[in-house]
Amino acid sequence: MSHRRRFSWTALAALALVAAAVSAPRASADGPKDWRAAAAKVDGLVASKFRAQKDLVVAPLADDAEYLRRVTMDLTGTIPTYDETVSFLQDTAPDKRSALVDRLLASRRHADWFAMWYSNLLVGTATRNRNLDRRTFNDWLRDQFRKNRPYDELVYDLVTATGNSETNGATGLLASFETSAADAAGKTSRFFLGVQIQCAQCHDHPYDKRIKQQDFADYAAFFFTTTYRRNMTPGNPEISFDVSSLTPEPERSGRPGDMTMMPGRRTGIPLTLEGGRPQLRGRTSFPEAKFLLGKQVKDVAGIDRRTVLAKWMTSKTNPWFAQAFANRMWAFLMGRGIVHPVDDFSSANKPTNPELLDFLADELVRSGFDVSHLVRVITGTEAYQRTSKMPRGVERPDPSLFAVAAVKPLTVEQSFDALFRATGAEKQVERLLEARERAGAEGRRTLQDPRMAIYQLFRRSFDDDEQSEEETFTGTIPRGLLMMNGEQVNRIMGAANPDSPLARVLSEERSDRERVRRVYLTVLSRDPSPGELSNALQHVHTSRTEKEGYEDLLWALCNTTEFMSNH
Amino acid sequence: MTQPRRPSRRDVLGWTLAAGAASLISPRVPFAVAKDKPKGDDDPIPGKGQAKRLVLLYMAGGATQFETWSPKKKGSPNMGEAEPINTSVPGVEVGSYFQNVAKVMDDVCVVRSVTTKEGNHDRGRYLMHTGYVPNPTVQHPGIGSYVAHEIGDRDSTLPNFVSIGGSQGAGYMGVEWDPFVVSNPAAPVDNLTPPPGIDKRRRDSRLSLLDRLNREFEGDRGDDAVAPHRNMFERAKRLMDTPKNRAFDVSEEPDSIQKLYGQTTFGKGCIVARRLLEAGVKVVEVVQGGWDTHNNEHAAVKALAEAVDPGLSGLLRDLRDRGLLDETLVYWFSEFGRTPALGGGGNGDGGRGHYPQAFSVAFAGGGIKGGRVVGATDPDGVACTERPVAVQELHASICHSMGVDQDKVYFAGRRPVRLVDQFGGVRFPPIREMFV
Repeated sequence: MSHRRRFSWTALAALALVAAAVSAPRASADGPKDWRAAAAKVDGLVASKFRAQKDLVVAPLADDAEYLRRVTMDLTGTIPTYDETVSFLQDTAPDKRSALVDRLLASRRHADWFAMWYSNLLVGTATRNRNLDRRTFNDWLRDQFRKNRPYDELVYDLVTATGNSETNGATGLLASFETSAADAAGKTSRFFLGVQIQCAQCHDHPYDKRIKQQDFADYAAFFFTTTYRRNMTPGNPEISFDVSSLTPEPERSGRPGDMTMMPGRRTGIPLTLEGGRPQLRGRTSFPEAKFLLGKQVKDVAGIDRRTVLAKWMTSKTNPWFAQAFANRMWAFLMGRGIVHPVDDFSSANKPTNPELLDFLADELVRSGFDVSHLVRVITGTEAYQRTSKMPRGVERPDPSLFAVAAVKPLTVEQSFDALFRATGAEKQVERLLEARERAGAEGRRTLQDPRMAIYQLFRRSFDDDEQSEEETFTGTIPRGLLMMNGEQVNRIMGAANPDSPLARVLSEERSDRERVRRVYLTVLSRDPSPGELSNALQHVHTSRTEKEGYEDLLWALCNTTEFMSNH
Repeated sequence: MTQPRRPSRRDVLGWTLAAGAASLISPRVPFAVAKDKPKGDDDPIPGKGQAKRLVLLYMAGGATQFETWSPKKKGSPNMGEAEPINTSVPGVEVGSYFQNVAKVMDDVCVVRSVTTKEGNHDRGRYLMHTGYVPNPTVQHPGIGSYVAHEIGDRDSTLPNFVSIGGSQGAGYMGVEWDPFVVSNPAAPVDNLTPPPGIDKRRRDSRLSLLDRLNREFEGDRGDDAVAPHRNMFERAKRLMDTPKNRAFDVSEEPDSIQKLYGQTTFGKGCIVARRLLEAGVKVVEVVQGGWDTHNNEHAAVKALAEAVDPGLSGLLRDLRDRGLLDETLVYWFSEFGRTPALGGGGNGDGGRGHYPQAFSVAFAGGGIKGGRVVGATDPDGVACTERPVAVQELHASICHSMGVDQDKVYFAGRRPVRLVDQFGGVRFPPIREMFV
């Protein structure tokens, strides 16, 4: 099966009807984790929604260049290198797309990027958060994604983490809530379960009638025995955080919630619903915790409530856990959730394709919560591999049908990693990263992650909201000014920069057509169209100098809508 | 949506006593509602739409109310080294750190009884800027963004909303209404001038090349793909090319003005604010950080007041002298106040901690009656004893002065959101006492 299928738009309507049948990936017996079979099943479920649509035009598969850039951006947060692009486009192996996914999943950039993505979702985008050590948290997540840690175990570790942030980076999630059990309850239920119970903090859920205000308080009670402590010593800029658990001893009397607290000497402040410091010594009454729309939980001596919560949460039988992550990963890769917004599962916001969501969630559970497997399944589908192109005059299908690939805005991190790769500036960053990596644990402690520092620098200049989960890089005036006039931006775009691709392009290629082609392959990971080629050549030929002409071309391509989005 | 009901001033008084007694135990005091309505409360409030421009003076970190707008009796244990001083308005006192502000109190309306539940910096900042409690599903616009959105001019060469020191973004209103942020008012605007080698001719030829190379991709991808970036370079170019961008240059001001506002970053920020308003910018926010005074209250507030006292008073005088004050609303605010007890900062050396239960904000210009005090706290400053003010009332008052419809409904996704929160079906009108 060739992925370089050329198509004519007039034939599209006909194509749509047979889309699923024509190119069902071959089934193979890879054992329990057969991503090909799963991908085929997914495509069948996606296509099942097409039949009811009138005049639907389903986009055909993307060509290799479009696919390469999309999957590289999704899985490593940046564009492919020029060399990768050329070798992928020349590769004739029939399974080169899945081989590419394997390569990307095994790369260091993948773990870096997924850690960044996931950690932004969990604790916001600020590098320095007052309440947690972002450095150790990101490093911990990176290790998990590097090992392809099963998702249920990863979440279990996050929810049950105790100890000092310096030695256990997983404490970052809990630490980010400081002493607010309300935040802990709202975030963990929304993020890990997709259920927005924080609306029920102040009133019964307005859309989901099953969730009452009391349910919020009952669920938040899982965090009441957790304490938080910020360790600051005067004159020492290093701050660490402790997340601990009080060890409750339930009273024999058996009155609900009655327990004797035995705080240690270095106990922090317990998490509460409304702030304030509850009395910790002696007999204390804590409201009993209750699983969301589930049963009351009895405290057991010596067992942390969070452990009980995490076991229930990550269990295979939890109705929301696998669905929430399957939906989030689908939305991340496809540009839109099957439940949309992605974290709003409720009786009033049903999945647009429930069978599809069920299948993905089941597949995730069957695979033992294998994150990479889920990625292979989704990226292996025709739905993922469709082109994002729909010519003018053809109506773009509703995004919830997944009949055309989405155009996704880039995050701040993706924007700058892509820019740094296209201009060669990443070589400098790579040198710093390698130095940090070589220095081992001590290096991680003392050296800042240079990439984080760069993102922060740019983020500051746009004053983006650092609390937000996902920042996309949009067209503000400061960004326009930075890209036009920024000294650093113009320096890395300059042909004089030794890391710049222009240095090689100008010395290695003779013909301007080849030079333009190389700049296109470097920046947009594709060949220019005839029209683009002639526009570029015309600019180069009318520029004051050859050098200026190519600098302008590099600048322009790095500022195209195409470069600034994932498509 | 529930039909809005209109609680009167008396309505909110219903929970005054409850708040006084209970606010320390539980900040969740419901807004109880009384049945009877005093006469006159349904009369239209004057001053609607009088303001054409807005200045936000944001005191980041949680500004003390005791040393500033709401001093307690001399010698009161909660006053520390500060004391009350007389102002140009008989019977109205401010803290001794506000020597210059005291002289322009005729123009200032202080609200001494703001009460919220948010004692966390980020949440408090969000609440005071947007009028909403932080919510993971909706990003609400800050005051600057929504006022700019309502009264701004899309074709303006200058941004409609400039923030000197950063601000809340435009949330669901879109990036176009985000603040244009200037980090240092004494320095040139970042990246406003081209780097060496990129003259105007080359810049324009780059932009024209970009335009041509965008065409094929944009033509095939639909509007949603293009919208986030539309006009970015066009708007940036307009700002570069307009002679009005000189308004950012504080050095053009004479020494007398520099002296009036004080030679501090905040003072210069206030000067730039005035220059921008004159050039047509609708909203300017100036930020003074450092108010999180957990340690050594006296020294910390003294240093802050050295910037804020001349900056604020200078701005009010200057706007008044130029005949701009009546059409300019000035709003001084913070994310919350500080604990009444000195030493409540948690570090045992006389600082103050966070205190959202009872704190102060101040207004001037834009149809506000100067020389007024709204609300009061008890002699220790622990609880509001008179006219507690909810954050929605502050936003409603700003909307009133700016001529913005506080009840306007927007859609954040599928969710209807009003400009000013009507949580629980309760609509808060503007603070009548500020205008009548």
